[in-house]
Amino acid sequence: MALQETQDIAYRCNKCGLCISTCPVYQQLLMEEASPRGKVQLAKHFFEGNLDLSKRFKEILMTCLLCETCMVNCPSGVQHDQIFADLRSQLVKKYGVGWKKRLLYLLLTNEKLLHSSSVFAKLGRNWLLEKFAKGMRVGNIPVGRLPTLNSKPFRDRFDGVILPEGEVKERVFYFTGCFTNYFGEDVGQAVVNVLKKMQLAIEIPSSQDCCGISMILSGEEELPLKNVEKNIAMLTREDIDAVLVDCATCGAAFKKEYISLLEKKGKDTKGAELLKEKTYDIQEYIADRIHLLPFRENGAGKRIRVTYHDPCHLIRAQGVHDAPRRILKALPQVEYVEMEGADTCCGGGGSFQFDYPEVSKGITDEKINHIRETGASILVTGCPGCRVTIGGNMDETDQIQVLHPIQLVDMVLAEDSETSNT
Amino acid sequence: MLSETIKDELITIVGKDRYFDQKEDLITYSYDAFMVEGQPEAVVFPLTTEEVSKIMAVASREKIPVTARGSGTNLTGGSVPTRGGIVLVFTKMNKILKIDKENRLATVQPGLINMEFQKELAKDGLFFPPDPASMAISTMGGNVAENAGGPRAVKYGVMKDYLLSLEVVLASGQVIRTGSLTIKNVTGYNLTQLFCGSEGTLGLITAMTVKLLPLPETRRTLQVAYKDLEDAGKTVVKVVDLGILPVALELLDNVFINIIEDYTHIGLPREAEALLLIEVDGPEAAVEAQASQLNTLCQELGAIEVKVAKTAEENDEIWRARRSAYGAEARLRPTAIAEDCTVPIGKLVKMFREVAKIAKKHNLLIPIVAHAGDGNLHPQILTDIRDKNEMKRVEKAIDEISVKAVELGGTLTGEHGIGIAKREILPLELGEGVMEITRNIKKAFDPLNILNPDKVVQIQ
Repeated sequence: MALQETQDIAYRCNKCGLCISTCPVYQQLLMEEASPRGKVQLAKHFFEGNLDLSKRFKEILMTCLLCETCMVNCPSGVQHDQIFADLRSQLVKKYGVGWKKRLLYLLLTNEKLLHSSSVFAKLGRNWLLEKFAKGMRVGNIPVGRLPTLNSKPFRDRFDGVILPEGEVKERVFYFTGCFTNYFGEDVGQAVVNVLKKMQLAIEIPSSQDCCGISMILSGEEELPLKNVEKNIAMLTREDIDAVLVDCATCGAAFKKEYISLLEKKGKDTKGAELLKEKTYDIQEYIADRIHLLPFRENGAGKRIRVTYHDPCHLIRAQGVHDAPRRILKALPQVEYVEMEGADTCCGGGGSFQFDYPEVSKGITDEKINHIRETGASILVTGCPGCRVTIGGNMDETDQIQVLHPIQLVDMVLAEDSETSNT
Repeated sequence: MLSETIKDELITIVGKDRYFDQKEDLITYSYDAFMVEGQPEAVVFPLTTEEVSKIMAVASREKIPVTARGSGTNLTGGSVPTRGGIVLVFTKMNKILKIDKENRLATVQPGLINMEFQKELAKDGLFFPPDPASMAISTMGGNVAENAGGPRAVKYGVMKDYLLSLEVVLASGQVIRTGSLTIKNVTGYNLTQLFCGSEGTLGLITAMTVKLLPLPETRRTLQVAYKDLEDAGKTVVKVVDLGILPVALELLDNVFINIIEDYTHIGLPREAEALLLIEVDGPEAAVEAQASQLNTLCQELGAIEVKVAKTAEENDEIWRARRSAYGAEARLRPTAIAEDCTVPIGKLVKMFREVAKIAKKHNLLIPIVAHAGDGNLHPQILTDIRDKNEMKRVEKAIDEISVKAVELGGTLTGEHGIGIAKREILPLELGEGVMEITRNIKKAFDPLNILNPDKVVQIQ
C-alpha cells in the first residue's frame, strides 16, 4: 500500500538536519517547523497515529515551496516529495482547497471555459488596472508588473503544421502550456522562430489541455486525471519525434508527476512513460542541436551580460543544469555570468507567494540581490512562474530584462540576420 | 504543560510570535540527530541576552528545566528535553556582532551558522578553523557547547583552541563574562574553557569572542590506497617525520570503500584495505613541494595507488568519496549510529581491528571512517531502530567499542559529546574522583539542576 511506502520513507530520515542548511523557507523563519526534517518528523508522528491533520499541521505542511532542494541534498535519500504529496492529498480530502483555487481548477480542467474566460479577463484586467489597481499588489507583486494577457490566445494564431523552408529534419509537438498560450506570446513566437531555423516541422496541437500540475501538487488526485489522460493520448502520437515544452513546470509534469499520480491511482503508466521519453525542455532540445543555428560573429564581441536562474522544476525535477548554460555560452554576443546561488528557489512556489508573502519576499529579495551582483542586463530562466516572481519583485530602478532563454536566442539570431543584411 | 501564569510571563518576555506550545511545535523540538526523543512543554526564541536572562529567572523561580538548542544536529541527544520544560532556541540570535580584522578577532551570537561565519570571514581574507561535519547548519553556540572539531583538527585544533571570551547567562539569570580579548590571560580560573564542551549544563552562552587566522593561500589533496591497513597507519605516524603537518588525514576502511563505490561508481580500488586522504595547505610553492614529498612517502610505505589533485576541482573530486560516505551507508540501512571513540594515533590500526572483531562477533555491519590524524574514529553502526533484537546487539557493540578505546589509552568521545548517549559509561573513563568533582561543578553552577538536566552527569 502506498501509505506504508511513504511511512518507510519517513523512517529513512536520520534526523541529521543537513536539509535545513539548504531550505529557503527555513532560512527565512529559522524554526524547525519550517524545515524539511521537522515536516518529515511530524509526518512520522502522523503515520504512527500520534498526530491529527490539525490546522497547525496543515499550516506547517503548506509552508513549503516544494522546491525539492532538501531531497537532492539529503544524504539518506529521503524522498521528501512523496511524503509531502501524500500528506497534501490527505489535507485536500479533509479541508478542500478553498474557493479561489476551486475556481481556478475549474478553468484549468476545462479548456473551453479557460479560453473564453481569458477574453473577459483581458478586458477586466485592463479596466481594473486603469481604474483601481495601479497601486495594488497581488502577493508582493504590484499589479502593474504582472504579465498582460495576449491579444488572443497564442494557439489560435496557428492552424495545422508549421513547416520550415526546405527539408524537414524532425517532426515535433510544441506544447505551449497555459502561460505561453494566454500571457507569453513573445516566448511562443521566439520558440517557433528558432525551431523553424532548425528545419523542424512544428505542430501545436490546438486541443492541448493544461498540464494539471498545479492541481497535482496541491494534493488533488481525481480532478487532474482528465487532463493527464487526454494529454498523454494526444502527445504520444507515433509519427512525432519529440514533445517540446517551454515551461519547466509542464516539463516536470510530463517527466515526473504524471507517472507518480497514475501509479498512486493504480492506473497503467505505459502512456506516461512514453510521454516522459518523448518530452524535452526546449533548452535541452536546442542545446543538443545548437550547431544547427546560424550564429554569426558580428565583431561586436560579448557585449550583453546575461545571468541565469535555475527553476526548481527544471534543475531538480528534471535534472537539467548544463543545457541552458551551454546555449548561453554559445551565443557570440553574450557574456554569461553565473550568479551566486543560481539553483536556489526564487521564492515563488506557485501559490506559496500569495499564501506566505512575507516568507516569499525574503527569499525573492535575496535572489534579486544575487542577480544585481552579476551586473547583468538580462536574466533568463525557463519558467514563467520564476519570471513573474522575479520580474514582479524587482524595483523600478532595476534595468534588468527578464526573459525566457529562447527569447534571447531568437533576439541574437534576428540581430545576426539584420547585420548580415546590411 | 506550563501553567497559564508562567506561559503569560514568558510571552511577556519574548512576545506571542516567539513562544510556541502547540503539539506540533513540541514534536519538532523533541529530537536532535540522536535516537532518544522527549517533548518540551514550551519553545521560546529569545533575541537578546536580556530576554535569555529573564527567561532563566522565571525558570529558576519555578524550577523548570531549560534545554538550549541551536540547529539540533547533536549526535548524542544533548539538545533533547528529556524532562520537558522549556526549549530555548538560539537560531534567531544569529548576528555577527563584530569582525575585528586588526586584532584578528570576531564576536558573534550563538545562533550564527558556522558556515555563514566562514563565508563572511573569507571576504576579509580571514578563516575560522573548527569545521564539524555539520558546519553547513550547526550553530556557533552549539559548537562551543560541544567543543566541536572536524577534519582540520590535525593542524588547527578544535573549538577550545579559538575561544577567548564568553558571555554566559547562569541558571539564576545572572549574566557573566569570562576571559578577555587577549591571547594571553592567566587571570583567575579558566571558566571559558569550562563552559566549552559543557553541553548546556552549566550556563547558556549568549555571545562569544573567537580568534581568527589568515585564510591559507591554497590547499592540495592526495588520495592514497593501501592494500594493507597497517601501511596506512604507518603513513599517518610517519608524515610528521617529514616535517609536514597536514590539515587533515582521513581514513576509510575496506567496508566503506566498497559501500561508497557501489553508490558512486567513482572508481575506488575495491581491493584496498584502506583509503587515506591527505590534505595540506599554505603558500602555493610549499604546498606543491609537500604534495610531492607525501607522494614519495606513501609509495615507499606500500601504497598501491596515489592520486594528487592538481586543481581545486580535483581536490573536490577526491573529497567526494569522503562526503558520499554517509549517503552511501544510508542506502543500506535506515539507521546509522555514529560512534566517536578516539585513541592515540599509534593505536589507530589496533582500534580499527578491534572494531572489526566486535562487528563480526555481534553480526553487525560497521564501516569505519576516521579522522586518522587525531586518532578519532567514527565506526558507523548500521542498523534499523525498529529491529529490537538487533538494537540489543548494537548496544553491546557500542559498549565494547567504548571499553576498548579507553583500554588503549583513548577516550569515549572525540567530538560528539556525552549527552545521553555516553552518560552511563562516563565513570568508566573518568573514575570516581573525577565524577565527584564533575557533580560538584554541576551543583555549583546549577544548584536547582534545571540546565539541560540528565545530560553528561545525573544529579540525584
